[in-house]
Amino acid sequence: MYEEELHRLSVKLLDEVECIIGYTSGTLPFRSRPFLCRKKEDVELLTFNHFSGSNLTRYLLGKDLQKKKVAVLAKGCDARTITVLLREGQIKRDNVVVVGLPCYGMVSLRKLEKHFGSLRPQDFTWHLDTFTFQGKNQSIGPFLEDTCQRCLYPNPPLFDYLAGPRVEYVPRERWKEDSLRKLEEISPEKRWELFAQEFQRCIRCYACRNACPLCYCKECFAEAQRPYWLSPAATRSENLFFHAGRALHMAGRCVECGACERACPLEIPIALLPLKVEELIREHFAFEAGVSPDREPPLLTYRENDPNEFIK
Amino acid sequence: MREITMSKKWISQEQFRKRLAEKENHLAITEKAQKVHRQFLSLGIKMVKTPKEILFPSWKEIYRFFFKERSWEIQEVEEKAFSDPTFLLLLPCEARAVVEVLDTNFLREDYRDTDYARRRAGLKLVILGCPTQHPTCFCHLVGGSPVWRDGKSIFVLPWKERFYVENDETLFGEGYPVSTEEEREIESWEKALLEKLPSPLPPDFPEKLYAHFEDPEWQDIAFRCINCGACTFLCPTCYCFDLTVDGKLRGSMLRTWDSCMFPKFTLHASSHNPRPTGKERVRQRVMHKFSYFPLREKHYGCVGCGICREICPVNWDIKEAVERMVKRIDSRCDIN
Amino acid sequence: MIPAATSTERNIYLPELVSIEEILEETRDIKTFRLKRPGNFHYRPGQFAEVFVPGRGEAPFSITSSPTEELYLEFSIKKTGTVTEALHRLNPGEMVGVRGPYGNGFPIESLQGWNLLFIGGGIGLAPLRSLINYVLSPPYRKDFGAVSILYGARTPQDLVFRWELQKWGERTDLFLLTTVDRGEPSWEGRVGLVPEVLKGMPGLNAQTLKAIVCGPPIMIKFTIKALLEMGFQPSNIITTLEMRMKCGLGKCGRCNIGPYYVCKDGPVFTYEELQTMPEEY
Repeated sequence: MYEEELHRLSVKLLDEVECIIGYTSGTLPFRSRPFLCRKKEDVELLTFNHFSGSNLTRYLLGKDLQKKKVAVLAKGCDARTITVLLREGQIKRDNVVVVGLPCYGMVSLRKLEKHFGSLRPQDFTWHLDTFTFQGKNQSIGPFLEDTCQRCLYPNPPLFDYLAGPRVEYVPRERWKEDSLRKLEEISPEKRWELFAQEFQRCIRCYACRNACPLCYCKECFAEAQRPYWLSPAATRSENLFFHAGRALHMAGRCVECGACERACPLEIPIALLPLKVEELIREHFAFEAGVSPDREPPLLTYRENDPNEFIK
Repeated sequence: MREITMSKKWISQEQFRKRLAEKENHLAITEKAQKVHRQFLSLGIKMVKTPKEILFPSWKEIYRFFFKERSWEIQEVEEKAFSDPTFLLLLPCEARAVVEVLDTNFLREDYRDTDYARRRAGLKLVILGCPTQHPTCFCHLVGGSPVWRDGKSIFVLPWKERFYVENDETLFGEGYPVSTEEEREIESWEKALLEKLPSPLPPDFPEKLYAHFEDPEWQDIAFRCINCGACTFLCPTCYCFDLTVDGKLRGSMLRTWDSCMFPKFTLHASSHNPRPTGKERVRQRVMHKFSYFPLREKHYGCVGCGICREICPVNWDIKEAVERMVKRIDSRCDIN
Repeated sequence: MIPAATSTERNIYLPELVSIEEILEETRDIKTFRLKRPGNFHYRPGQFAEVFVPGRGEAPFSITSSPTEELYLEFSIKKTGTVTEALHRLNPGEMVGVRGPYGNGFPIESLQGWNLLFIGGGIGLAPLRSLINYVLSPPYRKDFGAVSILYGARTPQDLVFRWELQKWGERTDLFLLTTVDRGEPSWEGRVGLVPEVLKGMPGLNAQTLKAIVCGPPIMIKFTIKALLEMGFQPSNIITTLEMRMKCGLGKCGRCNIGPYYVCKDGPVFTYEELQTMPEEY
């Protein structure tokens, strides 16, 4: 997607910043990977396509990059993360140059594989919201990641430069696919069974937690000894505790980027819990994380005149 | 190397499927084996992600303790009858991981891990020769091959319309004898296959890599890794574990998978951490697999299956890391 | 104990429960625990054992008593984390689990016939003490040459084994020098950092001495530097390292420095060996 514009912009940016955190093509077919671009000759390696799913703002928190002025490429959801990180005091606005990437959604390799069988890169050509498979035109809608199908912010709400033309539609309204709605159609008992079954498979590798830029605690509650919350054994109850606990720690902060779900090596639908929590936050507090920098996050703000009764 | 006493036979497709269906409850297949041999997908065999799931499960109670009548008692965990699968269908790389790495670590004569020994004794490996290399594979780099076998496990090679089977007494039943010509045909095919493979790492690579411990290249190599632990948990050779106590007045000592990628792996009680940042931990992973383990045990700690490359959330690539270090070593850079 | 159903091999992680016989408060955060010695527990000075506190956890501690003490095992433990805190709350008569011995221990054969210089810092004296008392014990004293001990701590309150230091000071067959980094009005002894005091010690002949050093990492670093400057050969400088350990027997993979497992190939290493290892400790 609009890589030429991106390259032109990046060459100019390297006069201003020490490095650009972006994407480049991976070592395996279809894969895309984070890339630190320091030299103008390397700008050609920057890519942005339907597989650039990692949330790059995660790298802003690294000790060595925090002190330097860096540019980061951010899709809509990633730009929301930056707002949340600024709000929580984890990065300095002056040190970060945000290059906004209007995004048509990330394609799920798993969905592609399920539909088309063995995948060969040469069978596909990619356009903005369509692609061709062996010459035949297809819409990307059914193949987008679950979180991208229900996306409300394809255009970054925060940016210093925009690397491409804006997306003219809201994915959730166009594709009308919502993994949460599908869940709500199932009875609570069946839903519990579904979650229990899925989280039983979890091996507690913490890929989901580490891929999330907002999970930056020096010591995660899952690994704490004092107090001892969870055992490291990957049993059903411990795993549910971990995922539910993490979803609650993300309440009012999760930007629904889906990096957690994409990171899971076992294809567990990790994002369902934080997504539902964010829906509840929207319902009860009319608040979305990372959209308006001036609004106070409801669960992180203390006010003496809080309207809730229990605080009195 | 072929032993003269090793049995060889042909099994027809039909008999193959029939026997696998009969033994359904005793079978398991690894995910990678199923991906490479797509024809087995329809057989509905129970799938495991890695051989470790059977031999070295992600969590296990080692012993139990409880407080009774003002004093403590320790109790061994009664082992249930071995209900796990008795045959595991896996690829040569994964089999190599079990035989050369896991067995070496857990069955060493000083302190044999009895739980692992029991499970290993009850499990028969069925090595499925690879007809093609998957994009993630690099077994040749570490001295493996698509048709590696250890001479003791069952070996199956899909050959034209039949299966060539070695060393099987219990699973597939009676087959057809293999004539000397057919044997020679297979041997020469294997020989041609091995000759076409790219060359492995140079024999002194472990020592040379050891000398590059302080190479500044590691900082670059470690950049994108998010230090999660997915690679180590799904790697067929990674065996690091943690021993933690669960429970207060009654509980157990748990053995759980641990990962050198986690920051707390080497954290001392005094708060000193010899591997404080991602760079040290990534370096440790590569050095352990390609330098420390081979210097001790004469086998690489990596079998080139590429599972880590496939599932890594950010496509951090161990093959790429090794190739970069090969370049550094070859260019004879002065790292002091 | 219910034996394992299928094999006669013992579960290698199973500790043996023994009672705490005595607890001595050394400093505000260090206590020495004297445990009943488990049956069939044969060890060499410098080896360690994994001590299991039921309901809390397990941690490795070097055995500070000499193997010549037949009835008990002693561990000197500093309160730093969950397990050590729990240990500090125990009383004599309570039970803990012990499994071991693990580690390579001091290279006794290579020390025989040599003069020995022990240099300890803070709680680093604990593993040295097992070797010192072994060397000083009647059956073995004649196998070793002259014994000198240099021991330092941050303040007089942080000195451990004060009663032992007194006993050693009363012996005529060894030379003992105690120092503190920071003195106090009531302290009449030497004041100075261990490496500095070391350089000023008279009559140290690097050709006939083997130095055995243990203490905080920074003290070891500067002490070894001083020893090298004084002409000591790297193979004649011996130290014992600390590492985070879990299994203690070379299987869990976490205590490695390069290809060496600190729990199996160590924790005792000569400086010559350390020079071949990556600096990751």
